[in-house]
Amino acid sequence: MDGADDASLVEAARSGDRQALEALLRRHQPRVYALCRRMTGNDADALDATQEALISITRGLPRFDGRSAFTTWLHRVATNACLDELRRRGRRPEPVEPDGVRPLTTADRSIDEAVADRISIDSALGSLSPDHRAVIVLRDHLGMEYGEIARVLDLRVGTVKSRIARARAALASYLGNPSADDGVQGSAP
Amino acid sequence: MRFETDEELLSAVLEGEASPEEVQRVRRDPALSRRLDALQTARDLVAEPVDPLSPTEADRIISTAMTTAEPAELTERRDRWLHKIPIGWVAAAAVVAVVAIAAAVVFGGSEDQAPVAGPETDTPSRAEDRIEDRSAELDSQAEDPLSDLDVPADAGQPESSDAAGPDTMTETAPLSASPASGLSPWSGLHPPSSEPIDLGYLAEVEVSDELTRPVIERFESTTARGHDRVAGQCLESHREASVLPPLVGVGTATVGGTEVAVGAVGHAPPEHFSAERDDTRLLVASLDDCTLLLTGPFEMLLR
Repeated sequence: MDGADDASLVEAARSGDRQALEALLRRHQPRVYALCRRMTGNDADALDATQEALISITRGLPRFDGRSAFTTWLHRVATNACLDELRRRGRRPEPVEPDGVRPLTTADRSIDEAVADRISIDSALGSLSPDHRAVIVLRDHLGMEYGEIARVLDLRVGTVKSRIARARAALASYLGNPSADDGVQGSAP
Repeated sequence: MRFETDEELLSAVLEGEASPEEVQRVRRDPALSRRLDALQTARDLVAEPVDPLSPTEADRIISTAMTTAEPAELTERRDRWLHKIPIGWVAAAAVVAVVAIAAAVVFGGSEDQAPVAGPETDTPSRAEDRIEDRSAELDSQAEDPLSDLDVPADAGQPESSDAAGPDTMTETAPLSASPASGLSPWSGLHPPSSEPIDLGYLAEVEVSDELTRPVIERFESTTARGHDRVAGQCLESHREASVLPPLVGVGTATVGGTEVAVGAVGHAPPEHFSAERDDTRLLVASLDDCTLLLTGPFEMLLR
């Protein structure tokens, strides 16, 4: 069962094969959790969002018509579960306030070293709006292609590219100066 | 120039999509080069792997998902029934749906304009009872997945309704329009009021910690929006079942004497809602029994 491809497992699960369903969920759970962990910014919310996503996937499987790839549909479900979790909790990841540090400058030392020392990626991602967070996580954490991200989020490819560019710029700005506000930062989800 | 902003140019260089000349341009410019390095760092940080769930936690949530979810057979049977709805009727509903949503946004807070809500002959309490009855029916069937849904054969069909009062939506949105006509969502509507548009009852969706309650409470405060309240309950159930983004607009419309609930879901804040947004979807459901009749991208329905 574990060696079967997604399409076979989906078909079997839709027919009521619970082993196939479990194999599907088990195969994709790590990726769903990774997405939710980066999206929500903390372990507890990520766990809740992952749970909701898996329930939604199980419930929605009979309605999955196969017109898109299963993974595209799965990522859409998972992303929406994460966005719902952010709205439900009404909070973003708590920024890590670096005590007594001054804004980074590239003249001091490499940005990599400084960032790794002082800034949490969770707080940096948490400074973005949920929409921008979603595109950047799908692209840079899960390594998805622009076209697939567009399908997952129901956006045009151009919109995806634009959002990714703006989100990266905002992240870089935040990492260089956590108090910076360049217009892409998030509103309360 | 291929790129409108430096961010897009830098992102393209980062992705390896820029031409050699564009890469050189960035590398020759110290400021751009520094920003490129910062973007690279940001990308690498996001790409850092996360700690996976423990096997125990993973087992628990998978087991919960499998035991909590609705039996597949029930859902499949409901979907098969939905596919029997005549496409012509659904297309007509789509046109009205588009106009209804537009009206909900344009006239949402203007008391002297055509209300989005339907006539008051079907009181909120009566309509709400129907939704609750339907919900209870589905709940009982969920317990017995082999039971039939007992859906009336003509459900979803246009029908005359003596109870339907004057339909303000049809006055401004002729039903003869078709999706193929390229109907603008603003077509057939009066010019937007010069008064500020009150989107309050929509905006509250976004700031709530519980999605439906503020919408329903807001609807309860306005008798004329009794149908919107029921529509909100109905559409929210479909939104949740289909794992769609939040409702950002709710309204009602009448097609051939049949009232439908119309909702828009999306990630856009209500004030940014428009036909141009490509991440907004429409839900159309029968107000009579909350049957989902149509769902699709807002933009697609305009073609």
